[in-house]
Formats: sequence, structure tokens, C-alpha cells
Amino acid sequence: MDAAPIQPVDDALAVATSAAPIAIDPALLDDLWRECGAGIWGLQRSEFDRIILLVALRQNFGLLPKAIVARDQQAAFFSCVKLADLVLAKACAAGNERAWEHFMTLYGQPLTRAAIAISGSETLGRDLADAFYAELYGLNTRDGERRCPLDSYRGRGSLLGWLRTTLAQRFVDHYRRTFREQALDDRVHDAPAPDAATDPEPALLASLRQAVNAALHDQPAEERFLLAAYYVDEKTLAEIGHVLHVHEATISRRLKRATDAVRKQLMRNLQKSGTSRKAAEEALGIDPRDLDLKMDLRKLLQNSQPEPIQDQAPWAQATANPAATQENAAIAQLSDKAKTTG
Amino acid sequence: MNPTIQSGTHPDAESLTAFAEQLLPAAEREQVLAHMSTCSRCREVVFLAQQAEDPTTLRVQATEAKMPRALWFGGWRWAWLPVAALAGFTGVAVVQHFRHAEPEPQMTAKLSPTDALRKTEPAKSAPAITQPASLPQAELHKTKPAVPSEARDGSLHQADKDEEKQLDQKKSVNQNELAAVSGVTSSPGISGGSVHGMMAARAKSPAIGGPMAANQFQQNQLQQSLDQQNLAQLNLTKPKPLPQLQSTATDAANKPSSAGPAPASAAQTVNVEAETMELTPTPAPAAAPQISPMPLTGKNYAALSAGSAAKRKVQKITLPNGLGVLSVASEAGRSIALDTAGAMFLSEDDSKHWQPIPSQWTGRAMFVRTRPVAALHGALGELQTVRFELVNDKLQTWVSFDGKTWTAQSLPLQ
Repeated sequence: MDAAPIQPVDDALAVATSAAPIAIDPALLDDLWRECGAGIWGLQRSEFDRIILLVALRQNFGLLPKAIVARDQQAAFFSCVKLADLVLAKACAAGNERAWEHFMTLYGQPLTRAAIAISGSETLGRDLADAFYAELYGLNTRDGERRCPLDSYRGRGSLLGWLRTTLAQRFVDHYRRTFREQALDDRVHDAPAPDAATDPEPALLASLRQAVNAALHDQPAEERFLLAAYYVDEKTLAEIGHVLHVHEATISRRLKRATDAVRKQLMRNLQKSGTSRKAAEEALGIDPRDLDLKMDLRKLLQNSQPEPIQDQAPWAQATANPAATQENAAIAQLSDKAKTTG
Repeated sequence: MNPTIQSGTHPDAESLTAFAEQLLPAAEREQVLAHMSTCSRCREVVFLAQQAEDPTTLRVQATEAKMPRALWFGGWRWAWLPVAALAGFTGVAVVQHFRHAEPEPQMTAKLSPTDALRKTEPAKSAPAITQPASLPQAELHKTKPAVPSEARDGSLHQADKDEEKQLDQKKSVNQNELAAVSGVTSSPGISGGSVHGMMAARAKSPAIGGPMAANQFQQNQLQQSLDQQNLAQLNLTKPKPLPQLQSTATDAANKPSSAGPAPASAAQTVNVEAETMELTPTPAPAAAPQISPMPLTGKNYAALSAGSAAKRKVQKITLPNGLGVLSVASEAGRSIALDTAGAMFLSEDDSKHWQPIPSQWTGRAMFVRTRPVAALHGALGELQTVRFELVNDKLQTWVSFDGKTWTAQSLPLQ
């Protein structure tokens, strides 16, 4: 990931003002102009040059700031970006009417369909799409300045994919903000509170927590993603395979391998911490002949602390997180189950 | 969707898009995966974005998913080409093989009937069979020309001419039968030697059909050996072969048009030969019309039918001693038969019951026949009767009118 992968929208334009002067080869500009085909939908060449220069200033051709960039490096940088999408997005962000017309021609209907697919409802989807159009058009302002999300687009992926992802982010964020305002289900509301008397010993909880953290941390990131997507999010093998661009049979094999590895590592960690094998199996609440850790892993993974994108040691913060109380409850359930099965 | 709001920073939409589109470098992809393994929000965003792909693409994918699975041999589509080429080559090879095997019969068919007969001559095993009735040509001529001309009147001459015509017809019919007999051991129009060579070559060939041809060849060999055994059994009844008569009969069969009125005994000798050849199991009447040197007129056909009926009659006869029938002559419900040992039997109830006739002749009886007597008396046609004649191995003739009492016939035969 580059130096600023999670660039807040607020800081998007600040880069232009702070970037060092940079020069682009005119011949390269001519090549890029012919390549992107922006003249077809009415973009002026001067505006195109300005957009390219602004992109180069913001990203410094994908290199470190203030680094001297040769012409080949400049060409290599532009060859790796979606130039046509990037120019269109920048032109739209700059308020070019022809660019907006072209944008709506290309992405108007796909974006509406994507919003409907994401929300699962045509009404909600159209509302979501309309709100997103308004946001893209720059109706939102901050400190009297027009804000356009398209300005943060850097051309790494396709513009349509970026639009869908942004739309999904808006929907998820909106759902998470508003789900607490919804009425509780009677079944959930009437659910009995956990019995405090069944909580296991604090020492056992601590050792089990450490063993779980270590077992999951030892797994590769992709295996952890598989476990979380399958056991926590309950995604199908086909959905996971579609995201990772592998066949669902491959996902199935890797899931089984990851489950076995987590179980073995968890047992090893518990025994290393002084717990007997029988006690460790009882603590996990599983039968030794039962290799299915679905319920246990789901609870364990669901209550794991999300890893900050720039922090490579997320598991050390698990105990300091408020969500640790939920993890304690999950472990208590595991122990309770172990007692009942034992 | 997990409604738990999780704090912390998340990858931007562009990074998630690049992750979903497999455009991230390996290190950055690992970072995004590590974050998503613990961030349900980002996982949900990525899965929703993937779910919201262009519905047209989804429809295409759904259509492809509904399409029937490719056949198991679908991946072999290019492998069928050499297989098809090999099959075609094999088919051409088989066709060429049979084309090369067929020229001999085609060439045989193009030959004249006489040549075809000559070709079949080495294959037939007729000499041993023709011996009982094969007589020296000179002696055969003695049997009829010895009649004194002064003893005949005009009617007698006319009767004699008629008799000669009948004998010629019989001869032609017998020639047809001889041709049929000669084709017994071979296919119609195919010489025995050529068939034998072709079958042997096909049996030895490792090509397709070789084993089948080998089996057929073995069966033919076995059949020929059985035929030879039968003929050898017949040979035992004869003291010595007469190759001259054989060649005479063969020449008469080969040159029907150029041959004049053949002696009656020679013609009937051939007739006996045809009858005795009934021992071979494979009838070949169909081959006779192809190689017949004479056109099959209505008369010939009637004679041929009569001969065939006689042959069928011979087949039905069962003598009391169980031996085979060497010769038979029938007239007006009375039949005389000679077995292969030379014993004579008489039947007066249309070959149903047979009684042995004591030997009243010298030598070994070889041949019986009927001869109308009325033709010899001309105007006394109302007294027309038929007498039986017997020929022994010394070519002496005995005659009888009732089949029981036999008297030696003094020459000239009348």
C-alpha cells in the first residue's frame, strides 16, 4: 500500500498545493492525450494537460515525494493507471459539463443498478443512487468549498468499480449508523441475560484468549480472511471465491486446511500455557472426534478486534479494546458449553 | 450484515476496488487482507461491491452457469482429428484389400464359359466318379453303330434320329449338370484354385477379416477333405481309373458346340457322374446357368428339371442294406437300383419297398437304365414298353423287362 492509502477526502486537494513543481515531457502528454480519447467527449487539450499535471503533482508518479522522475518512470506510471477514467473523474470533479454528460451516459444506469443490488430494494437503491449522484456532483460543501468524491479517485482501479465500492461504503455506513434506531426484535429483546454464575475462571479465560489470539495471528492473512468471511459473515464458498478470484473448490480446501491448522495451533498453545489436553478440549467445547470448529471460530472471529490498516500488531490491542467484554462473554459461552458436554 | 460499528481506519474505496480487481501489489494486498480478516465492515463493502457488479455480467454468468456442462470428451475435440483420420485410413485400407482380392473372380467371369470350365477342371474331383460310366470312346461307339443298316426300315431310321436328338439333349443337359458339378467345390464363376489361393492369402493376412477368412478357409479345407474321402470311398468300388474317358467327357463338356452327336453311353456316363456327385453337400445348380455353354431353352430346362427330379429321387432312395445308391432307373412305378457294392434291388411300389435281385450277370453291375422298346418297333407303338438295361464293369449289357429276370444282351444292342 502506498504512503497514503486512506486519504481522507478533506486532504485530497491539499496535495496539489504542497507538491513540488514537476515537469512532464510534452511528447508524453501528446501520447497520453491520444490514448485517453478525452477529446471525443469534448475535453479541451489545455484542461487535459492541467488534469495530468495535477495527478502527477499529487501522486508524484507513484514515487517518493520530491524524487526526480525520469520520462520512462512517468510513462510507466501513466501506463499503470486507468487514464481515461482518471481524466473523466477529474474533469467531472472540476465541474466540466461535457464530462458530466459523458459520465452519466457511461455510468448512470450501471450505478443505479448497482445501488439496487447493494440495498436489495429498488426504492432504497434509487434513493441511495440519487444521494450518491448529488454527492458526486459536489452539492456537499465544507467550509464553503464544493466537495466531490471523484476528486479522490486516482485511477488504480476502474472507475465503475470505484463507484460501486464507494456506493457500498455509503450503504454500509448508513446501515451501521441507523440500525440502532430500529426497533428490537421481540425474540432478541426477550432473550435471557447470560448467567454470571456460569462464567469460567478468569485464569482460564485469560489463557484461552491468549491462545486464540496466537493461533489466529499465526495464520496467514488470507486464511484469516477466509475464516472470517465463511464463519462470521456466512458467505458462501462461491462468493468468497468470486472476491479472491479462485474456484470455490479451492476455497473449500483452504478453509479445511485453515480450520485444522487453527485447531492444532490452539491446542498447542493451550498445552503450552500449562493446560492439559483434556482440559484444553473441554475449554474449546469440542469433542476430540469433531473437527468442526465452526461455532467456536465464528464466535472467536466475530469478537476479534479489527486490525488497523497501518498497524501490524493489532492483536496486542485486543485486551485494551472495549470489545473485549464481548470476547469474554464468548469465551464464557465456550466454557459453559464445555461444561455441559463434559 | 454485522451491525457492530468498528472504530479505526479503513482502506479507501480505491484500495478496495484495486483489491477486488486484483490490481494491488502483493504486499499491499496482504495488508488489505489482514485488515479485512478482522474488519467486517470492509469485508461487507467488498462483498457488496462484488455483488453489485453489472447485472448484465451477472446475467451472462447465470446463463453460463445454466448452460449444460461440457461433455467429457469436449476437451478431446482436437484429438478426434487423428482418430477420424486413422478410421478413414483403415476403411480405405479394408476397401483396397477386398478390391485387390477380387480381381481373380472378375477375370474368371470375363472368360468364356469354356475357359471357365477349363479353369474349374483341376478343382473338380470328378475323375474317380466318372469311372463307372466312363467307357472308351471306341467301345462306346461300338454300342450303337454296330446295328446293321439292313435290319432297319425307314421308321427305324427316323426313330434312331429321334433317339439321337434325345441323346444330344440329354448330353447338353448332362453337360450343364457337369458344369454344375464342377462348380460344387467352388463359388459360382470362381475357380477353385483361385478361391483357394485367395482364401489362403486372406487367412494368412493380419489385416481386418484375416481371422474370419482363416476360419472360413479351414471349413473349406475340411469340406474338401470330406469330399475327397467320399470320392475315395467310391474309388474303392472301381478297379482302375480310366483317364481317357475322363478327358473325353471333359472335352465333350468343354466343347459342346463343336462336338457332334455324342454316343449315348458317353452322355449317360456324364449323367451318372452328376448323380454320384450328389454326395457333395453343396449343391451348385445356380452356377450352371452362368457357365453353361448352351442356351437354356425350354426343352433343356425340362430335361434339366427331369434330371434334377431324378437326382432328388436318388437322394430319397434308401436301400435295405444301407449302402448308397450307385445307379437307379425307374419306369411306371417300377425302379431298379444298384448300390455301391454292385447289388441290385427292385421296387414295384414307386421306390417304397425294395427287394434284392440275385445276380444273373457276370462282373460287377455298374449302371442301370431304361430304354423304350416301342421306338424300336416303329408301327407297333401300341405295344410300347420299356426295358431295363444293366451294364457291368466289362461293358457288357443285360436286359430285363420286369427287373427280375436278366438276360445278356448280345451285340448289336437293340
